[in-house]
Amino acid sequence: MLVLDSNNSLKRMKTAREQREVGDTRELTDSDYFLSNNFVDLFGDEVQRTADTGVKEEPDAELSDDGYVTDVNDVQPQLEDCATNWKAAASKEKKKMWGVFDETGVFACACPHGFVMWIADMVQSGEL
Amino acid sequence: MAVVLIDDFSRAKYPLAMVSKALDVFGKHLLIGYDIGCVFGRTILSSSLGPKFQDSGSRTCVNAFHGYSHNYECQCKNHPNNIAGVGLEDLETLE
Repeated sequence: MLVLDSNNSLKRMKTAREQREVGDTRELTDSDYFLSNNFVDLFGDEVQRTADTGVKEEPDAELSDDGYVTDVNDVQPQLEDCATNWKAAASKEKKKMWGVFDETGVFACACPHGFVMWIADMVQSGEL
Repeated sequence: MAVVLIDDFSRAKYPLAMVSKALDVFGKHLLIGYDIGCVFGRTILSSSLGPKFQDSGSRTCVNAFHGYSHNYECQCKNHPNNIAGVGLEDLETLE
């Protein structure tokens, strides 16, 4: 079992580089907890956004009776609705994020025992 | 909370990156708990990780507390109370 979630607290402002040096630019290479921005960006184009600004972009999938997703073609509008409230609430965060922060938070994966498996900086973006 | 990247093209890249690592390290029968695990399961299938995720016998679900913000039908399929093998785990570790 693994748990995913983001946190929007670890923010870092964009700096005017001609005025100030960035505080800590070390790369943490002695462990693989931190996923690099390059690795995360590999998945940046996986889900294409539709032209509108609505919240329903992911293709639908068919679920078997026990919940395992089996096919990506079936339409299940009821299952989409419950995520719309979550994404609608996120739009308020977007207004705060724009143009101000370089790093907006972290996204982590942990096991139920509390051990962090992997963590990634969210750079100029939110969870999605 | 979720926000779209400035150019609106990097959707779900963080959780997808995590799932990719999990599939490489742990392999099979993963249960991924996420606030929007119901939708994210379909997101994974629509991505390049889809075939590998499906073959591994893995699935996504919602966390026990966040799950109550989902509608009844979603909870029947995705709430950990309704998933065999989860036991008393609430998957709210990261809160």
